[in-house]
Formats: sequence, C-alpha cells, structure tokens
Amino acid sequence: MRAHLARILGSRWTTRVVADGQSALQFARDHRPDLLVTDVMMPTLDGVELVTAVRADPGLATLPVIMLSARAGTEAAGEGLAAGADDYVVKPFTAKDLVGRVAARLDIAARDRSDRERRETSSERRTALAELAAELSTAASVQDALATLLASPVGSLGARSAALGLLDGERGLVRIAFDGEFQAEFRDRYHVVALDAPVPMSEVVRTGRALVIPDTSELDEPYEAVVRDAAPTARAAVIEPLRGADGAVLGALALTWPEPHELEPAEIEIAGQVAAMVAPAVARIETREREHRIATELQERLLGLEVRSRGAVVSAVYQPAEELMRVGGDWYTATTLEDSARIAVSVGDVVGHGLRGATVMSQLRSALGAAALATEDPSGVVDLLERYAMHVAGAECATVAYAVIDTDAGTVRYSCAGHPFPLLVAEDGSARYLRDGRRPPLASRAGVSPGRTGCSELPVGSLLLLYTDGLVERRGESLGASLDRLAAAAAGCARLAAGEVCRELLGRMAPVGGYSDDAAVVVARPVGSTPHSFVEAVPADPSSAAPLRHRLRAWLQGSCAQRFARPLVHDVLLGVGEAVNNAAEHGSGFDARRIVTVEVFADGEGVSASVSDSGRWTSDSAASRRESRRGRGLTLIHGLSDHVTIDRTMLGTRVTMRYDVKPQTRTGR
Amino acid sequence: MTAPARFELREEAGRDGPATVVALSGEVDAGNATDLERALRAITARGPMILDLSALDYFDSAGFGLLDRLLGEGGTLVVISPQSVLRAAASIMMVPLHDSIADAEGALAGA
Repeated sequence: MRAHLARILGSRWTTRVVADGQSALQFARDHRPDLLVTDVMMPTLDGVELVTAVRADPGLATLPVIMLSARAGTEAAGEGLAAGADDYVVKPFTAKDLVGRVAARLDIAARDRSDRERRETSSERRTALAELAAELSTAASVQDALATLLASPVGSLGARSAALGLLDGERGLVRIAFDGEFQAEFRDRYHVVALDAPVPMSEVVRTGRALVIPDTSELDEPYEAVVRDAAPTARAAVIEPLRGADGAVLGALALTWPEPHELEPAEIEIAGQVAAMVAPAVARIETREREHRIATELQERLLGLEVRSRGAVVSAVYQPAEELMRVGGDWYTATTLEDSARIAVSVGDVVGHGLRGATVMSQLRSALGAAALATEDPSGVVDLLERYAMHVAGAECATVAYAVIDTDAGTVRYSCAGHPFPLLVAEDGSARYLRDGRRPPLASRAGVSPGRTGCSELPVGSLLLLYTDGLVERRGESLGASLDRLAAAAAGCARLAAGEVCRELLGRMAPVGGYSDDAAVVVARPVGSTPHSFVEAVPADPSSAAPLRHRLRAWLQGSCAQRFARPLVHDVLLGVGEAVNNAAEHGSGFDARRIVTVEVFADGEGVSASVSDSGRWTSDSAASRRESRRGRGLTLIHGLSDHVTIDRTMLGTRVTMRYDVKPQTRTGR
Repeated sequence: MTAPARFELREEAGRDGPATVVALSGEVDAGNATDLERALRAITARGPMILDLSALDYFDSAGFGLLDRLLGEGGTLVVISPQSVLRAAASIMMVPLHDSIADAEGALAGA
C-alpha cells in the first residue's frame, strides 16, 4: 500500500512515505508538508488519532488531511471526518481518483492561504491606518500632520517626502507646506503658488481630481519648470485632493518619490483613504489657526509698526494668550521723531482685555504717539499721556515703558510708569536692567505724578528690549527670578537680528502649556558698526543698494575684527545685495519712505546676515521662476550661503543667511 | 562711498581669431546692467564676442539675466577664471564658461 501511494502521488508531488501514525506526526511537525494522506489502520497511532493530534497542534491546524478508508460509509470514515480530516477516499481507489482528490484539496488550501494572507495584510493596513488617523487627529499643525504621515510606512506608501497645499480662495493662491527631503530653495520658491499656475498641486486643487504621476519627466511641457525644480526630490508623485465635510476642495496632499515609481491600484486606494483622513485634521488645524491668527492679526493691525527711522532697527511681536481668542490690552509703538535719527519706542499694558481693553489701549497708544512728537523729554511725554489718561475710563493703572533712542548721541532716555524695567543687552551678551526713571502706573491716584527721566548709554552693537509682564510673569515665581530668567534668555540673543530676537525670546520664555497672558515685545538696535556687527537702515529705493554694498565691503575688509577670504566676502555681498533688492522691490514696492534694514554679524566661524522689510512678498512660482530676476536672486541667496531662513510675519519679511568659513578659505592675513 | 555701481569695459583689439575680446572690471548690478547690455550688444552686432568677467568685483542677478539673454542668442563666449570671486555664483547660475581667453578662442576655432 505504501509503495502504491508513493508511486501514484510521487508522479506529481514530492512525496514522503512513513511507516506509522507516530512517525507521520513527527514528520509533519518537522517538515510542514502541504498535505497529508493517511490510512485509518496503522500501528502506534491510528489514522483517527493522528488527525486529532494534527488538529491539536497550532502549527499544523490548517494542514489538509485525506483519509483512506477500507469500508465505505463505515464509522471509521465518519470518525476521521469528525476528528478533522478534510476528505476521505474509499479503498479500493484508482490512481486518477486519488490524484484528483489531492489536487482539489491542495487547490482549496492554496486559496485559503492567500485569502488568509490578504485578510491579514488588509487587517494590518487597517490597523496602521486607524493608528495614523488617531495620530492625525491630535496633530497641532500642518507641518506636524505631514511629519506624522511620513512616519507611517503604510500611510506614506514608503514616500520619502510629502507636501500639503491649502487653498486661499480669496487670493486665488495655494499655500504649500513641505516635509521630508525637499530642498530649502524649492520650499521657498513654491511655498505660495497661483491657483492657475502650471503646477500639479494647483491643478489638483483646481479640478478636485487626483493625479498619479509615475514619472514626472513624462509630464507635458507647461510643467517643465516645476518638474526640473522638483527633480531631486520628486520624480514620481501621487496627489490627492483634500475635501472638507461639505465636499468642497480645501487643498491637496502630495506624496513624492525621488525615483520613478509605479503605484499599484491598492496603493492608490490607500492614498485616497489617507487624504480622507488628513482632510478633517487639516480642517481642524486651519480653524484653530485661523482663530488664533484673527486675534494676532487684529492686534498687529491695531498696533501696526511702520518704522521709518534710519537711526535704529526696530522689531516687535505680539503673542496672544494661548487658549483665548481675544484681543488684549498690550501695545507697542515705534515713532520716528522729526530729526529721523531719534526714534521713540514704547510698550504698555492696559488693565483688562477684550474689546474694552483694546479700545483703551488704542486711545492711550495714539495719545502717546502724539505726545512723543510734542515734547522731547521722555518723562514729559509720559506726563502728557497721564494727563490724557485721567480722562479715559478704563485707563486707570495702565502701565507704560517709553524710551527715546538717540543713535548719534549713543544714548537711551526713558520713563517707566509702573512697568517692568527695560533691558539693555550689550554686544558681549551682558544684560542690565534700566532701573531709573520710575513712576507709578498711569492715573493711579488723583493728579499727575511727575517722574524723572532715566538715561543710559546705548552703544552701537547693543540691544534695547521693552516687554510687557506677560512675557516674564509665572505663577509662583518671584519677580526677581523672572527678570533673571529674561536676562539669561536675552544674553543668548545679542548676535541675532532684531526680528529673530523677538521670536527667540517668545520661544525661550514660553511657559509649559503656552502663554496664559498676552505679551508684547519691542527690540531696538541702533545702526552703526563695531568690529563684530554692521547694522544699517536704508530707504527701499534701488539707488540704496550700491552705496550700502560699498559700506558693507569696506567694513568686511576693514574694521571688522575677522579677516575673511575674498570669495566669502563676495558671496556675502551678493547674498545681501539680492536680499536687499527683493526687500525693496517685492517687500516695499520701491516705496522710498519705507525702510530696509540690514544686520550683519561676524565671528571666527563666519558671517550671519539678515535683511528685513516691512512688507509681504506676494510671490508665486510664476513670479519666482529661475529665469526671472527675482527667481535668480533666490537661487543666488540659497546657492551661495550655507543656511537660509525666510521668516514672514504680519510686520514684514526677513531673510537670514549664514556663511560658514571653509577651512580652505580661511586666510592668515 | 555713495557712488552707484560702475563697470569698465576694455576691448582688446589685434588678437588672432574672429572674436572681439571684451574684459570687464568693476561692478554690475540692477543700476547699470542696462547700460552694459547696450554696450555689449553694439559689439555682438559686429560678430562673435569673448566676454571676460574674471576681474569683476560684483555681478548680480541683473547681470546674470543679461548674460542669459546674450548666451541665448549665440555668438558670445563667457570667460571666468577659476580664481575669480564670481566663479561660485556663475556655476550656481549654470553659466557655460571657459577658464581663460585662450580656452574660449580654442572652443571658437574648434566649433
């Protein structure tokens, strides 16, 4: 019988024959065959016992078993099936009969196996996608959502980079966030694209139809520019529309691969599922950010800082309280005084928030601006403000710090009504509070209480910082400890551009869980140069560029404490020159009353240069292609420096470029 | 110094070969790029030009823009020596260039 079986089955399958039930079980455990044929009557372990043992073994539970039964319709066959055999063949049987049964059973087993595998894969996918959906639902920002997506091997389909475009329907633009391997220059060039631009992302947002691009080089000619610019990161992409709950297109999600890449239908389906999970997350983030932005924008519009002084670089920032969407009572101002070399800055804080607080704030702020022009002496200015405040309901106990920077004299004169001390940070990072010129809060008692004006030197290279108590105050911390913390944080900012100082201080001083009170910060840095820094404010006029460049060259090759190789000096001049052109043209519309500021810092490691304007570049890729002048400028800015950050805020745009000294370009001269 | 950018243009006559050799020094920016383009076009109107930018101290996006236009029309070869400060910027802007006037003349003769 054994030889007979070996002959019949061996003609089609690899067949192993053993003598008894026990050997069969052991063999099955060791070798995991695809199918087992067993007789009922066997020594040591009979067929029924063998099937029972096989089914009890988790590793063999799915092994197909065919029983050979001598007596048709007898109990043995029934027992075998009951024990778990899949089929039985009655003896005597023909070779064809047995082969047919075995083949059929192997077929079924194969189908079961692939069903099971598919079920397992799809259940794994479902689990992974459900986890991704949960993570996306807590993403705090669009950037965060992209990072979460790329971290999921299933959700990202193995893409190494992703981009998320959001429709700005009002302006006909798509604003795009990038994550992964996109280069900085590409990100800056395409962060805003026109809705009708020849860019696949725009097309998907426009049409609401997904695009699957296995190889970008096969796209049509209109896409040539973006295909070339994206080539290092995106040679293949799938771009899915993002739809809101009402079905309207919110934007689009792109996954990209650095090499041509074919997607299977199942993967394209996953991309659609992922887009459907990203869309509500993005809608939620957008709503939250919009609320926050409205509060910030309203405040910043109320506070508008249009500095036209050539005497100092001034930057300011307003941080609303984290959880509340409301305008606050904090303000800042910068007033260019008539001789333009002097500039008055202030921060103030009205008791109370909301519309009432904002109204009082606005009144005091305007009065202070007028008073600043009416009299020179800072305490005289605050006297005028206080006389006005006596008549404004809700102005009681408002506080203010007011300072006049005189760059020619190298001094700051100030008055501080119940407000935290201004902070002076020297170029070497040492920080000192200006504790003179104190007086009580405004309108805190009957009658004006005149105070004395404080005065301090304000050397070129140093920074003056005014702030409201929201920046420093922490529950359970003494004022002294708070001020020490601010001085330490400010010390690390001495060699940063004024705008960066604002952002950096807000970051370093942020309480765990965010600001519970609103905060305003003003940073002022007098123009001039020292061996370590070069600071200028020039009119946003094309004719400013060459003279500024000549002065910067003279500084880099003259009074600067460092000696840099000629190519590095040239690259700094060219990067700064291009940034100044952009700031004057795109940030200020060549409005010569506007000011472009340049802050350059040099040390043994290299040069950092920041160029700031008071406008917003209304850019899109059509305007910034490599071929256009603006596009060439961006290419040079990115290509020549080691690191570039472009910061866009309500108050303007700031480009910061870092040039590192390369070992071979260091000279001993 | 409050002067705008200035360039000097020197035409080298009497060299072998059909091309006019033009050497620039000084600075080129948005303020004087139009003047430069006019001057160079007067030369390219007469025949091929080898334009040596090696001695320039400054050459910005406005300059690279006019260079792209001239190169697109043909008949202009650009020389920027490896020692020139412009070299890195020119390679970022993907300007086809020659290391020396002799190289450019060779390329012209071989073409």
